[in-house]
Amino acid sequence: MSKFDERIGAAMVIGGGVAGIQAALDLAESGFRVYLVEKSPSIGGRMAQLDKTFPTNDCSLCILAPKMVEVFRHPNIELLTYHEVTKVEGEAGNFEVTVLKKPRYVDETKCKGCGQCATKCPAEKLLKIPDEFNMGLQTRGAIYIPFPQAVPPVYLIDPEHCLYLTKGKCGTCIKRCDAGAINYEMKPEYRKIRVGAIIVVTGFEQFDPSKIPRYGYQYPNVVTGLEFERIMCASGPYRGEILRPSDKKHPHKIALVSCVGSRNAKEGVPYCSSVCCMYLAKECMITKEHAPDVECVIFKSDVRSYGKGFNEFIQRARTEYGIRYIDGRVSLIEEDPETQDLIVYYEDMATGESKEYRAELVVLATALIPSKGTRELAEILGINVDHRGFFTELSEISPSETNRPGIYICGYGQAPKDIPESVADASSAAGKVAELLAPVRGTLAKEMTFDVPEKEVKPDDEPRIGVMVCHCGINIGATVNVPEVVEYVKKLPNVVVAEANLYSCSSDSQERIKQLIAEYDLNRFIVASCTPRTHEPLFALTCREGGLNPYLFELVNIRDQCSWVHMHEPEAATKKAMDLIRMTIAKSRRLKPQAQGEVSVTKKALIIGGGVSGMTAALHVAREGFDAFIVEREPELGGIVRHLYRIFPSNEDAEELLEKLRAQIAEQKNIKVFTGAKLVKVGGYVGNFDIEIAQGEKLHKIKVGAVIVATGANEFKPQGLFGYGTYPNVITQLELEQKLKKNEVQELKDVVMILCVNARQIEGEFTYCSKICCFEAIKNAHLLKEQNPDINVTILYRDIQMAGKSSEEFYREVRQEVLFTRYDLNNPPKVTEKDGRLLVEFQNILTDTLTSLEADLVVLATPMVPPDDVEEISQFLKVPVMRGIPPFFLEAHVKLRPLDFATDGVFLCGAAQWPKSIEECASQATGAAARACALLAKGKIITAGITMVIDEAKCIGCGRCAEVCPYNAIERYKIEKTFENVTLVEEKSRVIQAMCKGCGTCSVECPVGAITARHFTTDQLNSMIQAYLLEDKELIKEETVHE
Amino acid sequence: MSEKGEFVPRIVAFLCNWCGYAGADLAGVSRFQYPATIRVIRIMCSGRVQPSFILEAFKDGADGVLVCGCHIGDCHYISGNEYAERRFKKTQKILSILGIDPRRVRLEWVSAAEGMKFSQVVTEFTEQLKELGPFEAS
Repeated sequence: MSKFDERIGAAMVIGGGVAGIQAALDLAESGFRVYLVEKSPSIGGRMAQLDKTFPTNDCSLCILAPKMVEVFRHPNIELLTYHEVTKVEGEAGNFEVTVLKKPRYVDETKCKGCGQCATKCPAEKLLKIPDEFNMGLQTRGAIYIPFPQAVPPVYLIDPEHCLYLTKGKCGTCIKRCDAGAINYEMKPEYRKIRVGAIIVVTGFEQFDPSKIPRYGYQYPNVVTGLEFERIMCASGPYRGEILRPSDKKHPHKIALVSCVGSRNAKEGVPYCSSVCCMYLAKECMITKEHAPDVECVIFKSDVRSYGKGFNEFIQRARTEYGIRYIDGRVSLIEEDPETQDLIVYYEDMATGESKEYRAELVVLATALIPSKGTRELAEILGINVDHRGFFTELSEISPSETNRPGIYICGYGQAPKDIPESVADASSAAGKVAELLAPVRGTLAKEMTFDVPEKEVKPDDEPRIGVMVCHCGINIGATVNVPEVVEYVKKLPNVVVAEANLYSCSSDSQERIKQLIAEYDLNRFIVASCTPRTHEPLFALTCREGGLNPYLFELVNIRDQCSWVHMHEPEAATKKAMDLIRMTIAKSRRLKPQAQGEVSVTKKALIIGGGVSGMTAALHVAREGFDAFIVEREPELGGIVRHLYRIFPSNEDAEELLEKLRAQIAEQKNIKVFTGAKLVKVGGYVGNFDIEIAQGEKLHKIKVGAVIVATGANEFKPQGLFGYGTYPNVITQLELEQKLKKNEVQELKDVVMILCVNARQIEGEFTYCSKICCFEAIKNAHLLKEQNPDINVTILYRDIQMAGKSSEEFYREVRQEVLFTRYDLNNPPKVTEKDGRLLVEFQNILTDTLTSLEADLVVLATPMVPPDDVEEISQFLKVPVMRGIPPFFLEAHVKLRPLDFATDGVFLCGAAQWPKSIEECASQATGAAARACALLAKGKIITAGITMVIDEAKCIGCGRCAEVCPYNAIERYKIEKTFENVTLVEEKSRVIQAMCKGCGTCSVECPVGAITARHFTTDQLNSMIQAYLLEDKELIKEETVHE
Repeated sequence: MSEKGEFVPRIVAFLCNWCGYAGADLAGVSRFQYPATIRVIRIMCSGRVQPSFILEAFKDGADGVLVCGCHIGDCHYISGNEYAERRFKKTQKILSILGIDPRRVRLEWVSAAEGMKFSQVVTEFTEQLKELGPFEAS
């Protein structure tokens, strides 16, 4: 038996951006050991550099940072930052990967991230090293941390600029590091790691705009989109003030140019970068929020706004924010040397005239290209790359598989996509790994075990508190008088022991904490050091190792929120540290051990909807080894794809694809299909749903652990619009597919297609772009020409939405054989009949003349709409749908949780979420199913200690708590009370522990105070207020601790 | 009062774990200085801030109360900050009735990227409370 025979229950993820983070977390949660390799010094990728994210304008780092920290803490993820993959041997199930650890010259096991080393690095002033994270808009030292929230929070030395490493002279940093972490002798190290599968998720970088000199990138006030993100960001080089680089003045006129190098095969790249239209609108809106008087002008060709809420976002940019869009092709950008303003020369596409616009700052939406090193990595991995530089998928229907089995791709390195698409595809790629490695799941992932049993702490036990006050080198100690604080703390009630310490987070300090707990028989512990957001889990774990329930630990932040912000006020800082510790002691005395509960999970999943998404999801669940049920209301599986002829862009026959999927479903013994069936009842919650399905006369009762919603969407039938319903030769795209299938197009001479029929309207329900209609229309136009080259096809469009990696090239090809003409929403085409032929009249924007075309057939592209039973399903599952537009289901978070509902245990995929292509549906379905399987694989749900509990005796059953709970974590139930011979039924509420996230909103809402917010009780928080304001009086006067 | 006899307000600050607290941490990491007038109580969500906490603080002699949560739409718990906002407005009314100047309480949305904003909020609030002078229960 060779070393490559067995399967290995571990996987490697290459690339630590948001998609890599998602893939790593999904795999780790699914029972695999994960190595996350990132070539730069921190994870976070491009998303960490963004200011806000469209279309919600969420703060990018705010939503990303918790995930970065989660990766850092996860017991089954080994983070290999500043590492590169150099060699891959073996095959699917068993690879041996060689990784190179580049020297940081800072020992990451010793570095505390305090930053003392960087404060005096002379290289910053001498060499003005561009700070990569801030896109070179500010400088950094040779010893640096990429950005304040970097994970791991560890410094490194840039060997190209370090004076010691280049000239042998300096050594300033080594003298300033009290932790002894700096080591100039560090050498590159190679390591071999064995994994069963690899996910490659390497992301993008900007196309260099200086390659197209007419855009004027050489001028200081011409910046790229990513540079502008840093300029806008509150933690960026200008602290969130919108200034231009040359003179740091506020620009009053900003020109933003789209498609710089994108959709430009000659000078740049042939594809549409897919995100620029949206981020330009976002950047304008944020600019206007900063400074309402700034004029923002976007030069564009098509506006691509096809995602959920995107078109409405663009509308808001135009109307609410007054952003100007100019249909213009920029021919040259020149600088006025006097003012350093820019003159943008452009051709006005509406009039054909040459015009100019004077701007004080120009933002270029440069093409986004696969990141540097993609080709080299592909060579190492033995996977294919296409002519555009993207990794090539094996087939469009499974976009994460590559030519080399066991190696999967996702993220921008595979194709242009936005954040939620990348995140969904990452879950899908993780799912593919889980399929491959399901037999060895759990073999290498560790479950946490402890040698010391947890000691019992009863409510009446006298609190015995230990306190450790950290110097954090000189970070705290130089400002806060730590010895004085320790002496003060010793005098506070219930404090049995208090001591100072140089670095509380070092491994010897962890031993010391355990020793103190044992030696002094402590039943509470407090560390006063840095922020609980990063360090509480570490100390809580140490306490648990020492036999203390982790909820009996508290962390006091006397660094980030004390010594660092009062550096020139040592006395005030010392007083504040004392106050904060005293407040925390008050809380600590009232802490209770919290048990983490367990709920078992039924290892089965229900999939609602039997289209491509539903079938793909069911197949995935089955392949991971669990039972799946499909409920489909139609008599057969297939969904909307049954009405398609050929699929874009693979040109595969739709019926063949469905037959393949149906055959695979039939083969799987653990999939049960209910067709012609309907969901009639849903009870229970995550882990254990009780489902009732009606199929004709029969009622099936099943129990499942998870539910996947894959209810799809239908084509909108435009009754009364453009003659649809009046003239038989006015049909929809889906109806055309049937004609193509039956080859009923030989008699046709002239076909006119009208796009955006009842889509992208200014008002009403149909303000959205349905994303796929342009693809479908252009594909069908091409098929028409293929079947009958003599047909004249004209497409009347508004903005062509051909994002993605191959679509733009296909579109350009079809433009050779089909006439494309733009129309204006305010002046839409009219369809009438004359002498038995259809007549389409429209205003030609280019020539500004009324044009009429005769046609044998008019084909309308209409938006997709959700099926009519969506509202019913949403009520059964207690999950939300969108309001104001047709009711597509609403995911938990539009950016980072595209496949989940806020309600645990219910997942979402396919066109039920938003119109999307078949390959995207398949990818999402795999991703959603994989996330459901992670839950099933665990077999149990660990409920957190920070949850709400309702006192049944106090509860008056008003149900206010259930109304405010965003997670549906509160259920209503009835109890009977008998007084002598009268029985009363009372309604009550209770918290489903497995679903509660611990926000505490319900506890405030309760009119009778029946809800306890565990670990943040009213008594605990009040005691902190009192301990601060009443100083020691409160602590001393009180004899007993009560709840 | 400080040693020089200058009035130093005492502020109880409730910061949500995900945005307000993170913004305060970023102020620290960035070394943005602000007056040592606040004492932070970390909570998971601004939706946990019970009006009675604010009343308790004034009862015990606080000069001001600050609440920081995620921007509307960014709440880690979807909608907790919306409830926080509604309750906060009610609480301000109650304070007015009790004769407490509603300017002594502040609700601010501070994101994890807004270290500068956090330090400015504390600085400005401190200045405002200095203008209002020490709180004395009437």
